[in-house]
Amino acid sequence: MITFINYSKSIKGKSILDNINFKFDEGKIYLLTGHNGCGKTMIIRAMCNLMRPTSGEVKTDKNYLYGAVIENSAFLENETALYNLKYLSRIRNVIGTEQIENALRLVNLYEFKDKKVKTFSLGMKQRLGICQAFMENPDVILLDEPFNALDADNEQIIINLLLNLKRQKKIIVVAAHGIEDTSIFDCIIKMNNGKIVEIL
Amino acid sequence: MKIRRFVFILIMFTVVVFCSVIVCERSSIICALLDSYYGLSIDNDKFTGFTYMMNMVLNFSMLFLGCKNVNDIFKMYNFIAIRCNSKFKLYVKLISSIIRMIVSPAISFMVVNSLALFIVHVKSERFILLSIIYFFISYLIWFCIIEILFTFNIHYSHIFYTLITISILSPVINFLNAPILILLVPFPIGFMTSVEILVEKVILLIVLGVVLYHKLIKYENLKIKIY
Repeated sequence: MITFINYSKSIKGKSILDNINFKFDEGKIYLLTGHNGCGKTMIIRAMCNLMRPTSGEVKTDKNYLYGAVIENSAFLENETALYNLKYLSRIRNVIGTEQIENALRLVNLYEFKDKKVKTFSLGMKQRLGICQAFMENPDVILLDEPFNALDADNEQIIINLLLNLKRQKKIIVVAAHGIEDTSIFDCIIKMNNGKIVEIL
Repeated sequence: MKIRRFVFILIMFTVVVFCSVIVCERSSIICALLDSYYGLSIDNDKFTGFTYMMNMVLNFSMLFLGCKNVNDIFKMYNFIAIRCNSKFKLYVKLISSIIRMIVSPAISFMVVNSLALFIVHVKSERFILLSIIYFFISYLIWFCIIEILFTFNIHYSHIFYTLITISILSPVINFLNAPILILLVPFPIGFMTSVEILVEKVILLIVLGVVLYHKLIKYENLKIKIY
C-alpha cells in the first residue's frame, strides 16, 4: 500500500499539489483524471520518489520496485529498441535478454527489436515506453497518458496487459484524460488545481 | 528552402574557413619551432589549412554528436532515475553513459584524423596528390555532416552555438597545447600531431563535461531528486 499523507508541493511559490491524502492498494487499477496541468503527473512523480514534497509524505508498506512512463517516452534514438531496454535493465540488473524479449512480445514489438528507435512511430515509442515500465516485473506500475497515439488494437493490447498485471496484485496507476471506457478501473480519482476533487 | 539551405551552408563554410585560418597561425609556430630545432622545413601554408579545417570539422562533429547524445540521455532521465535507488548511482549512470557515448565517436574521429595527418606529414613527397584527396575528403565530410544535420532537423542556433564555442576554444586549446608540443619535439611530426589532436579532444570532452554539470545543476534546481 502506498499512502499520501497531507502531501503538498509548490514550485516557485505556485501550488501544484495541495494536501493530498489517499491510499493506493495492491491489485487495483487507479485512474487519475482531470484537465491538463491539474497535477496528475505530479502525483505519479511523487509516488515514485522523483519529487521531494514541500510538506507531508508518501508512506509505503515495503520497499516497492517501480516501473513508470512519465510524460513522453524518450529513448536513445540512434540505438535499437532492444539496446535501449538492455541499457535501462543494466541499472537494476535483475533481468536478462530473454525477459526483455518476452516483454517486447507482449506489446507487439518483438519483430521490431532490432530496428532503431528513430524509425519508430509515436505509437510504437509509446508501447516501448510501457514495455520498459513493466519488463522488470515491478510492484508498482505508473503510466502517464499511456493510450496517447495508440490505435484501437494496440490500446486493447495495453488494457489486457494491465488486467493481467492487476491479477498479479500490482498497484497500477494510470493518468489520463478523456477516457471513454472506464470499466477496467477500480477507482477513478478526479483532480483539479492540484487537489483531489472527487473519488469514484 | 533550397536557397535558404545554400546560404546556410555558405555561412557555415565561411565560419569554418575563418577558424582554419586562425588555427593555421598556430601551425606556423610549430613549423618555426621544428625549423629552429631540427632544420626541418615544411611548406606549411599550402596544405595545413585543409588538414586543420578537417580537424575543425571533426571537432565540430564530435561536439555536435556529444551534445545530441547528452540530450537523448537527459530525455531518458525519468526512466533512469526511477531505477536508481540513490542519487550517487543516478549520477554515476548518467555520467558514465554520456562519457561512453561521446568517447566512441570521438575515438573513431581521432583515429581517422590522426592517421590522415600522419600520412600527409610523413609522405611529404606525395604532398600535392594527398592534399587534393584531403581537400575532397574534407568537403565530402563537411557536406555529409550538413545533410545529417538537416535530417535530424537540428535548429540552426545549435549549430552556430557549437561553431562559436569551437572558435572561442581554439586559442585556449592552442595555449594549453603549447607545452605538450615542446615536449614532443624529439618525436616525428606525425606522432606529435596525433598527440596534439588527442589533447584537443580531451579538452573538448572537458567542455562537454561542464555542459553536463550545468544540466545536472538545472535538474537540482527543479528539485527533482532521489531520496
